[in-house]
Amino acid sequence: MSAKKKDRKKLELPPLDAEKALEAGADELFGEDDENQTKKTDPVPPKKGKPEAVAKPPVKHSPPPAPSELTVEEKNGKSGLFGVEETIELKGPNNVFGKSIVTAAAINGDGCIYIPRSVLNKIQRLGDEMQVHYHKSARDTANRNMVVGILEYALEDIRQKGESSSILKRLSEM
Amino acid sequence: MLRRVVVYLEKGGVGKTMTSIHLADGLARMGKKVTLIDLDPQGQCTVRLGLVNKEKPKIRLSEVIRSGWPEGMSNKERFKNLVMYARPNLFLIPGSRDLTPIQFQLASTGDWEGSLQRALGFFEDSAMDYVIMDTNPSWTPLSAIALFWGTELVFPVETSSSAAYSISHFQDELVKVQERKEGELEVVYILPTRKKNTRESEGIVEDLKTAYPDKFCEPIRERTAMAECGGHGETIWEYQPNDDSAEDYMNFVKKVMSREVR
Repeated sequence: MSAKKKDRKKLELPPLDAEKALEAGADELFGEDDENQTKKTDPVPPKKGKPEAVAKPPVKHSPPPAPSELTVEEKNGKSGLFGVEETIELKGPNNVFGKSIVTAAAINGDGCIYIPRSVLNKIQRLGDEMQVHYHKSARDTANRNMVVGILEYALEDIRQKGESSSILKRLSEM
Repeated sequence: MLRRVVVYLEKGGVGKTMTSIHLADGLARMGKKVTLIDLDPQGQCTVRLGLVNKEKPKIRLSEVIRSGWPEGMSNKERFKNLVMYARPNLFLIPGSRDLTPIQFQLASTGDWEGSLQRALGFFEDSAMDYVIMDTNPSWTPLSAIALFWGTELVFPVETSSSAAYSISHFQDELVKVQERKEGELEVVYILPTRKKNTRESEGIVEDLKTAYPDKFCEPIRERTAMAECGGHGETIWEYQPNDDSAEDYMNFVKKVMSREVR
């Protein structure tokens, strides 16, 4: 018998009456005297039709940072900033496209998106208004499609929606 | 205090069900009382826990969501009629196809926020420690009601570019849920799954770790035994307890246990 089979044999559970086990579990979880108790959290009938519009509570978030110049963080001697300039002004210490985009790019938590050298050409063709620097320790080409995809998504959103872009909105809330 | 954990990612095939099962069973093995809720109409949790031929609960979750509980039924009776015994300390609310039409009802009424609270709120009056909710792929009313009831979120991210990319899309939806829940739901665990010994896989894990240092969990290594165990109706700890992935999942379980709920 292989070691694998031995392991499995050793861990086999004894046959158990599921009904009794469920009964015992229910006793343990709800107490043996629960049968006649009135439920504390009686159900409310499901709502019919569209729910009434309810004003949403204000979203709590940090106040927007004071505008400042986009920062370029030096790492190992290389710049690591991806920014959109001229057409759209994006500023702030957490730049660039909002937390979700920045983090989904999965490169760095400091607000910069580091882009592999191999991705540079692809990104540059997206438009002259984009300025891209890269970081030599950025991940290999495996992330190329992801990074390019995210940047295209973000840029397109801003291009199409302008000030109503949700990405810009998030940025302003950071 | 009952902890309500949702395992969710829009993309399919990232290991949601395996993560849900192993998180639930792992917690149960650590002595916690756990109920696994399968909100996927495919009902894969039942299959992978080897419960296909077992007697199913008398009342289905879909019925409770649709019509509420029969009047006068005690919490204990509700529990016994809704769940099935799966393993020591582990109970299952199985998924089934009848969850599909419920989505249309939920979609038409828009009544997502209170659905699971009404159906399962009685768990809060019990000694249950955890409910783990396995969701179906994509953003549907079923996943929405889980996110509204849940307080903790697990993202199982397959270590491929496309899966990591889907996080960015989901975050838009997450913002909406958080706004309505006043920030109760947190993205707590980013769990890379199916990690291979390739540059691509390792690179993505490294990137996730850098981007989410406080939410990152050590990855689950891709192993054959993990792929096989579900087909045998066993968890990895039953099928091949010495496997690397068994160790990985137990580390994840311990991380979840160690987290202090805010």
